Amino acid sequence: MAKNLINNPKRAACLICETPNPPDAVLCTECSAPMALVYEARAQEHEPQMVSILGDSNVGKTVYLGFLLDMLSQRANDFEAVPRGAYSVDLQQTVVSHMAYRMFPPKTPMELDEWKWTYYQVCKRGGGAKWIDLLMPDMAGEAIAAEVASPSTFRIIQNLLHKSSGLLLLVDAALAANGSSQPDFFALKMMSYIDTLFVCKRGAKIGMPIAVVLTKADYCPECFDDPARFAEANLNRLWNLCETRFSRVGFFAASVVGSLAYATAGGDDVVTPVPLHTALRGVLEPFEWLVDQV
Amino acid sequence: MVGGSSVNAKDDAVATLSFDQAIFTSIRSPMGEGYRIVAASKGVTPDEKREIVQCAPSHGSLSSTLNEATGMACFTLNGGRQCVFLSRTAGIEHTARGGFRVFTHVCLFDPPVFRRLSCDLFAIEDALRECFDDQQMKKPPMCLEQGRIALNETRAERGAAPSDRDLGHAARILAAVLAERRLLVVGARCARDVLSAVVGALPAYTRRRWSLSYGLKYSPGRRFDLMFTEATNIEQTRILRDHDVTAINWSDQPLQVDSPYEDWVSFVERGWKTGRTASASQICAGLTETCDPVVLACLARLSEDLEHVAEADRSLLREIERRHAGESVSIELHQRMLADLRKATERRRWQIDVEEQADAEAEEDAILGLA
Repeated sequence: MAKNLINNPKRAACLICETPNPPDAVLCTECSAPMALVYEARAQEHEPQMVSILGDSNVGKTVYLGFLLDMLSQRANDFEAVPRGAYSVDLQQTVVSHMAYRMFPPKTPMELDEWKWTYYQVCKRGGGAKWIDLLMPDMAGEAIAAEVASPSTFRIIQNLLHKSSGLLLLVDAALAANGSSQPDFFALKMMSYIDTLFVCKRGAKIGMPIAVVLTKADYCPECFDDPARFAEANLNRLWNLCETRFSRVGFFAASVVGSLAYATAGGDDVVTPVPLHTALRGVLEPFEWLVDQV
Repeated sequence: MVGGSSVNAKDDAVATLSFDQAIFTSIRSPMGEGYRIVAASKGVTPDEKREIVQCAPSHGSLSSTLNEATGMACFTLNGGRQCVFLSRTAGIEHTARGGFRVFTHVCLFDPPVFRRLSCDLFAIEDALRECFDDQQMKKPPMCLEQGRIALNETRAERGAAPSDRDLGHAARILAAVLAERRLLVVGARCARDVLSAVVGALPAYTRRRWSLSYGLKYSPGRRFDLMFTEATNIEQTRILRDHDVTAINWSDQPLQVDSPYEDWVSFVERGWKTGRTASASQICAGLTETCDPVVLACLARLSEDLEHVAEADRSLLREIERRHAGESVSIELHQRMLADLRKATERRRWQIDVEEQADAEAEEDAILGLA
């Protein structure tokens, strides 16, 4: 049905929620997804594959996605990536330029129209190169948390997950290594939400590929040695659910910041982290694994 | 006294009304971090929480970038309760990536309570603005009881007027709102005062149905009917068009809109110009049921005639009586105002009789004295 609506010049159906919109609409009137995605998909004459990036607030989704796209567009590891539309470059530009000024990029607002969407054509050069159209939105962690806590709060997230070919679930490894149960509980809730969303028979496992990315791994370098073992030890609830209900889960460690300083103004109790330099590690691997899987 | 609710307002002067409440802000707690409902009284249902989260302002949602920025919104939840957001900045957000932290006090009013408050969110705002002090906003309470609101003096008795330079825009906004046009007003000089005046001149029935906000940035997720914001960009202007929202720029000419409520708008505008805002405000507070433009025009004429009666001579009294003689009455307030008018004209006639008699006696005395 979506394909027909994509090719219908009179009413453009939203790629995410399939609501028909006026032909020149900027955002979907129902879910606020940018209609530029539809126009782009129409030009490509097929629907793109969607990869959703999930994670708690402040886990590093924006920074991870920004650097991932930047690496892809710089042809890292024989990848080639072409942004479809200037709006797709906004996110990586925001991230890279902020980090160059030793600042973390601003938080992603909860308002749907403020989310940055990226539409890239990606392929890995070499024998039998196949181009994949990838659509990756940078969602607000608070919105994801609200949707998980109370499904249908942000229906766009539900629709996105339904249409996703693969997921990147970001978990704060530094917090987990520090003994906090919060990352484990959030990831457990997230996976449980996905489990409920893709109902399948008892005993059967969900086949959607999910890359669990342990972010801020520079705080716990042992994470890089064996991410799966780290997850089993420090994110045991998540590990157990993955083992029981999901057939294709990969664990990866990633870090972006090389060294971090903390700044505070006199009389101010707010401590601002200052990324002194970037040292990308393990950013591309989860994506590469995911592309192989979808 | 014109409207019935002003009488009620006096009766309720010391009454307190209870309401459910919640706090939506960003704090780090054992249950997570980022913007969410951090505390709520027991009466707030999961469905209501969902609706609140969908449109509550998070970081960067207040249209002013100043440290002391405030915002407000009022809309009806699907369950029928009235939801009021009172937002303000409360220091820097703990991640230091989200600018000023937005603290929103969410108040939920049952329809009867909201009606008793004359559906007037500015009166509610006045009463509740200081509910949380700086310390509580810094460290919000983890659990909340029901809130209580005490209105010592309702705004229905005073009304509000925009400044002279904002009159034109305010009147056209009122006309557009009455004609059910959705508006985004950009760059109003004194947004709160203008909105307060417009709300004061809207029948309580309309206030109850209409959603509105000021001090919040426009977002399609907050689909309010009347929004006041400080700035907008080209893309938002296109989004507004898609959502059938008319944008009004304060630096442009006032919006030209055909409205069947022109008589009422002119009456309100005259009140704003002369500073006599109480009449319209009192009528509006009493209009809790739907009424058409003809009825509103009748009420406006009645209100003005009631004011003229005190100074009227016999011919003007006859003219006023003739004007309202065959009026069909459909709402209680109209009936009450007609009764007030009858009493006032009788009283004035008696006053004229007394004055004329006194004049005649004085004249007689003068003639006798001369003789």
